[in-house]
Formats: sequence, C-alpha cells, structure tokens
Amino acid sequence: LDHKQDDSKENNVENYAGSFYTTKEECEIAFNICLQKECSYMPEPRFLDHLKSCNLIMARFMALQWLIKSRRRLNLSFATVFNAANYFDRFISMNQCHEWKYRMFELLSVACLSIASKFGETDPPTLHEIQMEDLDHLFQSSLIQRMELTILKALGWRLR
Amino acid sequence: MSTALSLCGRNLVGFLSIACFNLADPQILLGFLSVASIDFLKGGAVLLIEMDKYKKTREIGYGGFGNVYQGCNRVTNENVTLKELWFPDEKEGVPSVVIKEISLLKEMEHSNIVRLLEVVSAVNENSVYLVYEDMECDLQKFMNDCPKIAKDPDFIKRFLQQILCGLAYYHSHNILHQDLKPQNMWIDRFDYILKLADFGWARAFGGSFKKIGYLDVTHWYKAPELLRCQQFSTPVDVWSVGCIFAEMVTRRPLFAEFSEVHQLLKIFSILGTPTWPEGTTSHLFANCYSKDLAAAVPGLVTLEPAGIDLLSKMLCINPSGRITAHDALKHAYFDNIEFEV
Repeated sequence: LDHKQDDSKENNVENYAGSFYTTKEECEIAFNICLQKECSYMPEPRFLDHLKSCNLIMARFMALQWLIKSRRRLNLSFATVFNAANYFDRFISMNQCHEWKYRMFELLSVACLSIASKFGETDPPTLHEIQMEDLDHLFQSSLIQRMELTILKALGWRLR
Repeated sequence: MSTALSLCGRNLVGFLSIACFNLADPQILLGFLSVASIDFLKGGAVLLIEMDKYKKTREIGYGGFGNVYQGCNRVTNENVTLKELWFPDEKEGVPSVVIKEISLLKEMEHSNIVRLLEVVSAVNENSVYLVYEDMECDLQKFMNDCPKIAKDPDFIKRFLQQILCGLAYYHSHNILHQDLKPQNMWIDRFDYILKLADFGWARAFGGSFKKIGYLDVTHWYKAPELLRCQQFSTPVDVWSVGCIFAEMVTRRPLFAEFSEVHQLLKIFSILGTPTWPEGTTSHLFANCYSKDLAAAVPGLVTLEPAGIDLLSKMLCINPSGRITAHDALKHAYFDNIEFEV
C-alpha cells in the first residue's frame, strides 16, 4: 500500500511539471526535477582529475575544436555540438582507460557528432560528410556504427 | 591475443585492459566491445553475449521496423516482450529514427506506461532489441475474458483514468502515441494497473521525421483529421481514448468500418456531419455540431450523465475543440473515484 501511495505522489509531481506552476511549492518541485535531470547528464564525478591524470586534456581540447569547426562547416545547430561534447565527456569519464590512442579519439569524436546530429538535426549530415575535413583517418561506416552503439549503450541511450 | 581477449571477457576487466591488448586495431577492440555488454564498465554485472540473455519464445506481431516477440530472461526467468528495430541502411550507422525513439522512451517513467528495461543489440549488429516488462493481458483480452469486471462502471472509470494519466504524461513530454487501441493497453491482473504500450508510432512532435516502412494500424480508433490526412497533434490520442471509453461501456468498437472512407462516414453518421461556410475548405471541421451521443449509440444508456458529457467532449470532431488529456482528468466524471483498489 505504501508503494502505491508513493506512486500516486510521483504522478502528481509529474502533473505539475506538465502544467503551469501556480504556487511557490510547485515551482520548487519543478526546479528540483530539472536539477535532478541535469545532474543525470553530467560526466562521472572526478572527471577533471581523470583527464589530468591521463594526460587527456590536450586530446579533449583538440576533439572539441574539431567539433566546433565541424559545426560551421556542416551548418549544424549549437545544441548539436553541445550534445556531442557532452556524450564525448561522459563516455571518457566512464572508461577509466590509460591507453587512449589518437585514432580512437577521432573515431569517438566522429561517432559522438554523428549521434548528436541524428538526434537533434532534421537533416543530419552523412557519415562521409562528417569525416570530410581535419581528420587523419577515414573510418568505415560499419566501424562507426559499432562505435555509435557502444557509446549509446554506455550512455544508457540518454541523450536529453 | 585471443586468450587475452576471452580472459578479460570472463574477468570483467573493462575498457582499460582491452585497450592495452589492442593498441593496433580499434576494429578488433570494438568488435569485442559491441558483442559484450558495456554495463560491466560500471562494475559487477555478469557479462553475457547480449542477445543470449534472452530467449525468444514466440512471435507475437510485427511492426514497420521488425518483429515483436515474447521472450524470457535466461538468468532470472522473467518474462519480457522483445521488440526488434532493424537498421535499414548500413552505410549511415545507427538510423536517426532509432536514436530518437529509444532516447525518448528512456525518458518515460510513469506507473501507467510500460517500462523499457533495456536495449540489447543483435548478434549481427544490424538491429537492436527493445526489452520491455511483460504483462500477460491486454485490455482487449481482459474485456473478453473477464466481462463482469470489465463491465463494472467503477472499473471502467478507473481504467479510463489510468489511460488518461499515462497519456497526459506523454503529452507533457511532447510525445504523440498515435496508435492507442485496446490491444496496446496492458493490464496487470493482480492490482488492475493499466499500462500504455507499443510505441510503433510514438513520435516526438515538434521535430520532423522521415517515415520508414509501413505499419498496419487499425483505423477504428483514428481521429477524423487523421483519416482526412490533415495536420494533427495531441487531440488524435484523445479521440482514440474516447473510442476506447465507449467500447468499454458498450462492449463493442464504436466505429468499426472496413475502410477509412467508410470509417469517416460512420463517424459523421453518429456524431453529425460538419458543415462548412461556403468557400472555406481550408478550415475543415470548423463548424460542427454534435448529435446527442446517448441517443445515437443505444449501448451508452448505462453510462452516467457526467460520463456521456466527457465522452462527447473527447469525440468532438473539431480537434481544436476537443478536450485535452490533462483537462479530461479534472472532469466531473472522476470526482467520485476511489483511489485505492
């Protein structure tokens, strides 16, 4: 019975989120829901320490630079690049790996941008278009697909 | 190398050790990673070849993207529903519809919506399976098997409320269900919790989508604006709920015709044909009047007046005049409902 009451409480909270907020209490509830959501899309704790200890700061910087350049080249929205960077960080923060190779970073960036544009753009660029400039490697689409699936699974398909 | 790989598979060593063994070729690394569940990176879980975790017991349907199966978890013996999503084009990686749909479903958490347990990839990697919790009974079956309970006005009220709760949750997340029918509503026979299921057509509105494949959806529950191929939005779902509400009361589908044209004519014959001011074809359904529902459908006499009122608001031909799921929940019909079963 307790469980059921909890459920109905949760439903009420959701209802507030879907309607206009009239009281201060409702606003606070809505704010907390948003805050909780935001936290669930953050990289794992101690991400920065992880980056520093693995000497990944420069590699991450270059990957982000490539993402930002690609935005202009492919005429994508800012949200897409923001999401791609978010997936990139979350994936790295989950994989406590000390042996990142440069081409793995490139593959990861390509796959993140591909997922983000498929998620957010109405007319996403093709995998070939994404890899057109500023990369040292050209990846097969089957490999990118596997990387995409690996990332999606690691992120629990949570793309906001 | 191969012993090393199987070793790290067994011992649940993460990306770290695999990466160390495969410095040369990410192809091998990813080949390994993609068949193995990556959950183990977060520690603990038993590593299995992904789809091996589930056994397909029988095929229960098909959709535009792939088949739907009943299955069970080999480890826990828990029954599940498996829904396959094919990737039609290998050249473009994971299709954007699949990415959009699954990420959408992952956000859904409501007691009246079927829970997506996990997403597993198939062995050939050209499809993924959505794993849903399984419920043994749908509303259609329930109405056939337990007519006494299903007929009870209190149960109808409770079921309708749950349908609307789930639907209001969808709509508050900007999602259209678009395929509401009794077969897509699952019922737990123990506590009579109803859950909305089947997301074959569930799409976010606000974005534009390319349609892939063909889904054989029944048109009995389709709103007139869908039958007329006009612009549509959340009111189409409310229409479907209205049809289901009437079906629960009268024990037969409200509008059940064999073609979409006949369907539309049937709707007009029961609810009244809309009239249009001359020369305003763009504003279809602008001026419609409603006949008295209780008089038009004899089976509805058992429904209380508040219920008739709510039903006629849900079955308003003009979509902009139709009641929303959120407002429907506040309707007087639900005033005297008991919350606990």
